[in-house]
Amino acid sequence: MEYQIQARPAFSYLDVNLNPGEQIVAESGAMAWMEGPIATKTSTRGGVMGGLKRKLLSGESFFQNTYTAEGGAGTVTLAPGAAGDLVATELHGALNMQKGAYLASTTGVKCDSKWSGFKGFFNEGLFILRVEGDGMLFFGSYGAIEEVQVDGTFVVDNGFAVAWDPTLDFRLTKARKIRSFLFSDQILCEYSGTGRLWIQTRTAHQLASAVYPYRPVDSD
Amino acid sequence: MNITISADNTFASVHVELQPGETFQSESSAMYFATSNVNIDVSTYSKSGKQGKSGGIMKGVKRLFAGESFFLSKYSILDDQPGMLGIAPEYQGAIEKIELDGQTEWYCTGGSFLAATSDVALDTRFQGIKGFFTGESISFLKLGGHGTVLIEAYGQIERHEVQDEFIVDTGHVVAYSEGLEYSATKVAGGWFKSWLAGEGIVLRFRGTGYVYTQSHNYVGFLRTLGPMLPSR
Repeated sequence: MEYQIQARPAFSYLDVNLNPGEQIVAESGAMAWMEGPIATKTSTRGGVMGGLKRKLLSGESFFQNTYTAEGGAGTVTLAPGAAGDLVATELHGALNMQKGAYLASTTGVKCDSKWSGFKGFFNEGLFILRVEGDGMLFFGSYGAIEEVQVDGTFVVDNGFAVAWDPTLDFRLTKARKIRSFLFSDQILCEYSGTGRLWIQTRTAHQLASAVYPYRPVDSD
Repeated sequence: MNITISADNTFASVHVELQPGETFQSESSAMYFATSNVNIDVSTYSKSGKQGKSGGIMKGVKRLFAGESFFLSKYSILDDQPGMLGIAPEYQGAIEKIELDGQTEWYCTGGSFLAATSDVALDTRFQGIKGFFTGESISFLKLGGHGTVLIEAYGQIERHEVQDEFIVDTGHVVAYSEGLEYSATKVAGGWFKSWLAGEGIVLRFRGTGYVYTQSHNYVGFLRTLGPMLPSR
């Protein structure tokens, strides 16, 4: 299997070249175009409970699609919903991600939701996505993505962490000397330990907050 | 101090490496990561050349610059190790650096100020225009002193050398240098024709200097998206 991430970082998409018999799993709706003898199989990948957990708790789709090159080579191009950046990484073990970050993986990689406890409360919900297994993993987010090697402690603005090694722990904190009544959303996330951390440079939330005041006013 | 701007024009970001003893400032929402030895102090900007917590919260609380509220964060290093912080705008677009030599002053719109070294003086007293018919307004921050300023734009940034005259729509101005004067004008013959042309106030720059423009109009974009949402 060969892959290429195109159009980074604004409109990143993933080209996958499958040799006969090879497969790629992707979240539902990610397929943009494909060519060759590719068979698509939709399943919940984990039964109904697995699908429900994935959808409700970790922001991923209920169904996932498995694309197989049957009898010949083929290509599948996958794109995430929100325009932004994509990262390809070889997974051996596990990785924690923000909800909705998963795009695709080889079949040995499974998604599960994970309870991140009340420290996750101010994040996009209480659950984060935990991806486990062996194989290639493709994830992304709105904005451009930067990788940081954490060794010790590291602070990220809340909502800007895309993915991190499970060897990193995190807790919510605030900026010092902050006039908190003015900044109800100035919550920071402190990561500690040793491991990789991927950060995004913009959040879709910032865009949503900016558009919000421009909604039309009800005429009556 | 090391300031590195990412090569990307769409989701541009800046990494600032600070040595112990060095300080930096940015609009307060701009920091997206920091090593834990970076101290973050949010203050209101009260008057020209002097930032600090004086002036009281109410006085400095919300200076509205074309719809933006203006708060500054000041960064310093807590221990004896270098630290790093990441600064990024809230919207899509590029980041540009302007070097202040202590001689020429610059002006940027409130919404396009991203960050600066601490020896840059920011004067937030209102300097701008307000259109009576169109309701548009634009106001500028004066940037003086010696140091580096980082400006942000919605879209791509371009620098134009002005030798005589240059006309820019208010939604596309990012910054301009001291040798230029501007006047508000209408693009076509009268106000009605200008309204027809879809242009309200445009700025006519005259003199010698530079103008930075952005390729797209952020408020225009928000005004396009907003009406598509459920009404309030």
